[in-house]
Amino acid sequence: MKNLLQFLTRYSNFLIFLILEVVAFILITTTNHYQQSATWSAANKIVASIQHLATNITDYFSLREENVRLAEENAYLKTQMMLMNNASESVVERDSQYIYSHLDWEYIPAKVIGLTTHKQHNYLTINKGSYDGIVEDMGVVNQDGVVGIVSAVSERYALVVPLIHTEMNLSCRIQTNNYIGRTHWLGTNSTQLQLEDISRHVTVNKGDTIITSGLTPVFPSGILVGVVEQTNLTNSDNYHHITLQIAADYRKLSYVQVIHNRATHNIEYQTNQSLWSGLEK
Amino acid sequence: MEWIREIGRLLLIVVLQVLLFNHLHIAIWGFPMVYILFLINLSPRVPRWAELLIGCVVGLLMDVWYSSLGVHMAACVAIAFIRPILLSNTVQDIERIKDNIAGRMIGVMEYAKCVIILTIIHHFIVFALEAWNFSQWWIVLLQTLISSIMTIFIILGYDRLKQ
Repeated sequence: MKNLLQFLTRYSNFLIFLILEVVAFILITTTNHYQQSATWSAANKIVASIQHLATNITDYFSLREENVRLAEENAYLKTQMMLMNNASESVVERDSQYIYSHLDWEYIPAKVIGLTTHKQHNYLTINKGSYDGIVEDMGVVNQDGVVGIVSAVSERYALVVPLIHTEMNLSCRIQTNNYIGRTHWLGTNSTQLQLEDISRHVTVNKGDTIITSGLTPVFPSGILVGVVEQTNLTNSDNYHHITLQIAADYRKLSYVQVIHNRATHNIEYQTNQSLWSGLEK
Repeated sequence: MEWIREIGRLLLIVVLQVLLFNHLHIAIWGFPMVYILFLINLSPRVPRWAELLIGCVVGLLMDVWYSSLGVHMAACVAIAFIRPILLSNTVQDIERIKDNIAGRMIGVMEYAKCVIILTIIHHFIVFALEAWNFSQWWIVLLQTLISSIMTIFIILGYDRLKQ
């Protein structure tokens, strides 16, 4: 007993060091990098409100640029409205081949208040939370295309995992031939993504448009993800090595829309029902 | 009263880190983490167990900000453990210094040596844990190199200004 006490007092600092390091490693390994907790991340009330304050100041420096962008978007929306007015109802039916139609989606505008682009696990914080009807796994887009997916929600703020996060995969398809693949970020260039799982028999050309597949309840089908910048296929490859130029520019991100899928609850409910009935048999 | 001043210093350096130094990054390669200045400059009279706990708290503060729970904590605890050993090996009779350490007290070269070693260890741990696998080890090494140069430059520049 005396020896043990002596040992503990002599190496107490080293023991504290070891315990703290073990705690840190447990935290790293048990925290899922994709599904964050709202308290221990930038969705935290205090952290997010400091970020909010800081962006309120820095916003003034990009007002002119933001005005030009808004004017462009206005013009685009006006033309869209005219087209919608002129077109018949068949426009809506065009999407009915996919599980979700455009009528099921609702857009919640939000402002980006915190953003990193230089890390392996990047996140962005937006100024809308559970009070505004945001829940985990909602899709986030801006006027250019897909931005990311909501991963943690506090009352007033939410944390979003962008496409430029090494553990983020997004199901998407090539617009010209409808082949499905998924995106993967290598962690080095914040403007480029890899597109995986496209077999070698598929023809992929530089400049092809990549859009969301519509197979997940997170995004509606047909939202722009990126444009093929480079394809590479050696004789031994089974899959194309495709590099995409991301449509959304993360360095200039300021306003985004969070997508609410009204049909999700119905569909999940039905899936659970069929699962239960299958188990009972 | 001394510890109130220290908490003030800590808050100031954290705010400077998140509002100023976070925006100085060069693509993904260079990312100065100047907040470790607080841990490097701690008074040598702080007991070692307290120093480890302070490292843990500072690391957790940064982790909540960066949404990377545990990464900065592991790195800060590591440099808080190494610093007293490093100081007693580089500077003679370190016990005579009562205040926070600076270049003019322990010698500019000795101070620079401590800053360089601690910064490189801290940055390497942060980037290695962030990447988690070593399939892209060259990215980790390059990030460590460029970010360390930026951090060391800022810390030693600040120390020079203070003199």
